[in-house]
Amino acid sequence: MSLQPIMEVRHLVKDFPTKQGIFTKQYMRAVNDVSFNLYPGRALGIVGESGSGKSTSARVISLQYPRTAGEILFQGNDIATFTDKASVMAYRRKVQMIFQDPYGALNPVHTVFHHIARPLQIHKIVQNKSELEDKVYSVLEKVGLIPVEQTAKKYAYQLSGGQRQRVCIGKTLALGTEVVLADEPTSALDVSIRLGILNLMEAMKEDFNTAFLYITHDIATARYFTEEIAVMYVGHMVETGDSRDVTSNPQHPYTQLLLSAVPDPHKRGSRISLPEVEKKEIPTWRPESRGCPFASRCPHTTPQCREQMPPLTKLADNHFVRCFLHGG
Amino acid sequence: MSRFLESIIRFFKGNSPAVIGATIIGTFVLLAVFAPLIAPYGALERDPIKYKITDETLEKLAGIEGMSAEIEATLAALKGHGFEDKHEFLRTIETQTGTEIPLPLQKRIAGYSRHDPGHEPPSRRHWLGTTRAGQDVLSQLIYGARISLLVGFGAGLIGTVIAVLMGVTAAYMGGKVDELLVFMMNVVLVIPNLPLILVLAAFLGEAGPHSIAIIIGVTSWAWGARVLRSQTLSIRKREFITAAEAIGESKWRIIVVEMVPNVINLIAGQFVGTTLYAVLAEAGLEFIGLGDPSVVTWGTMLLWAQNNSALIVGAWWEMLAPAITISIFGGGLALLNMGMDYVSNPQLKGGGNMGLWKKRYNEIQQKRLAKARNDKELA
Ligand SMILES: Nc1ncnc2c1ncn2[C@@H]1O[C@H](COP(=O)(O)OP(=O)(O)OP(=O)(O)O)[C@@H](O)[C@H]1O
Ligand code: SF4
Ligand SMILES: [Mg+2]
Repeated sequence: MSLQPIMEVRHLVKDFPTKQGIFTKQYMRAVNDVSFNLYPGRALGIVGESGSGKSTSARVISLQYPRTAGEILFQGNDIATFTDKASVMAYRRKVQMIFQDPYGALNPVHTVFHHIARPLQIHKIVQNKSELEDKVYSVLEKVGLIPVEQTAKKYAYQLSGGQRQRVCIGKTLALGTEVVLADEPTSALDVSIRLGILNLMEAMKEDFNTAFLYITHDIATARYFTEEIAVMYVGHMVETGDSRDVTSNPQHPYTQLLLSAVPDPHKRGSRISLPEVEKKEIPTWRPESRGCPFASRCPHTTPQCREQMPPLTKLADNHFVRCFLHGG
Repeated sequence: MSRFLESIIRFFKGNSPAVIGATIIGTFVLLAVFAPLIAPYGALERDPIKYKITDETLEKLAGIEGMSAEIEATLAALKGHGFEDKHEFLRTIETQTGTEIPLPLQKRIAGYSRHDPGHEPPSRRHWLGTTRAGQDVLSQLIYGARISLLVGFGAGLIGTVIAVLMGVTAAYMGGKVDELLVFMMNVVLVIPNLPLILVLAAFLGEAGPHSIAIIIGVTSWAWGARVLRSQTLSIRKREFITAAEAIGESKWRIIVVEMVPNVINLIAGQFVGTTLYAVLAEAGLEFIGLGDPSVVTWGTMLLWAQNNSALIVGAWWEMLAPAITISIFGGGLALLNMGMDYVSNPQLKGGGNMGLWKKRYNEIQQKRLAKARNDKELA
């Protein structure tokens, strides 16, 4: 790939303490050995079931949680070296997260104006009040919240779900964000307005060269919006590659399972529902766990699968899979 | 701004405790602010009447040397009139009688009609009577409202600000800071409040209103801080706080601008509650003599009434007036607080619990009827 990545994640690991005794501490590994690149003007989709560590990855990248191990490079610099306030602020400006629930992400006591204006004020993007107003209104216009002056006066409860998500996207536009970590941005919205949000993000890719990490359960919207897809299962990336390759030629048994649940691949916005899995079948990964994370549900499990972690194997130019069925 | 007004109107609409409470508090505030215009006398002004003819005077003067029927008739006619000046008093008697009064008699008339300003029962001149020192009780109540309200609201403000800062900071910061602040809250909570106040006040000697407001304020925040902490803990987990952190808001601004406005109704309730407590605590402190007795407040009025044995000598008004005033004001605050509870807990609204039960009962009856009808149709 000739493009220069803006964000490189290398072997990221994140543990959460589960049980805390006096002498012992137990951990669960929410993210294990996850690596990916984000490129300007492109989107990487992360697809996986609930609890697979999608949000945790995004939260570690956006400095909400410290990482346990691994590297996160932003424009070639490890973000662990950002310790002074100025570089943290600069990083926050460039890397923003969009949440699943746009209602929860907006403070109910403040207007739309406040939500767009604060980033501009904090990062001193505007010099005075009239400039602030102009900028807020131009942002609202860009995200399609017109008439801008009326919308600016509204509170979150006076907006529809789609409009709220547009406000959240507007914040990243106001900041001039270069990497947007979109955590299920459309899953709380009506099917009818999802496409509008996806198109808005698509336009950001093209017009502002924004890099996207697009987290979703819905492989159909991922195929529509992203260039690359990474499939995650209990904290592990099990298959990555160009969106078309992964969706039309899935190699990992888990990806195949995910795709078998999609009713019609050509129907836009169709929802997938995975075959009902009992919760106990999905393992909790611990630092000391061994074997393939998918072994408990995989139809092709061998004794080796229960003992060893399969390595990430290269199948094609940009298609990797973590399964003993393919090399290893 | 219009949203602010709207929410105020929404708050009072159909919320009679809040309306009554606010009316009472508002009236007191107006009285306190415009005290010099409203109070008929000064707070410490004694009744200026020095001479007054009473039945007793007439009895003592009857048949003494130099007394004439005319003079006696004039005196009887002037009974009850008060005079501030001796010469004016005697000249009035002379002109009304039409004769000169001999000097010794003048002296005795003046002597026997000397008016000792003391407990005077409620009358048209003094609607709520006077104190032992001849001061108008109504005027003292009105002027006293100034200090009592100031101490109450001042202490309420101090207590609420500390409670908000401690509670919200603890909830937002979490971890060690939270542990430390919760520890401080618990320490202040387990120290019995009134004894602590007594010790502090005694330590300061005769505490003026400012000291009392500060003492009450700094001892009364712990409970509120705990309540606010537990309420803001749930807000802290909301994503708009994460989003604010992500755009680089400072901790201070997140607490004050993003979190505090979300619990403003709780804070208002906190303020009203602390004020109520402060007004009562202030009156209590002053009543037991730990305040400055030269300042006229509702508390010192009670103190003086007690010192003057008002109830024993039958001057009930001197004791009852401040006592009832404190009760009315406290009741007003309590009603306002109740009204706020109605808003944060809407189930209470609309006729209290009985109404709720009745509604439930009707619902159940209706369901039963519908089911019976359904069964019949099926059969
Ligand atoms: N703050 C936390 N403390 C402890 N455990 C956590 C924390 N956040 C997430 N986890 C655990 O980490 C695992 C991964 O969670 P994560 O939220 O990343 O999943 P996800 O893929 O985003 O799922 P979903 O699709 O439901 O959003 C879960 O098992 C979760 O319980
Ligand atoms: S490694 Fe084994 S268990 Fe894991 S997905 Fe491949 S075949 Fe299934
Ligand atoms: Mg998630």
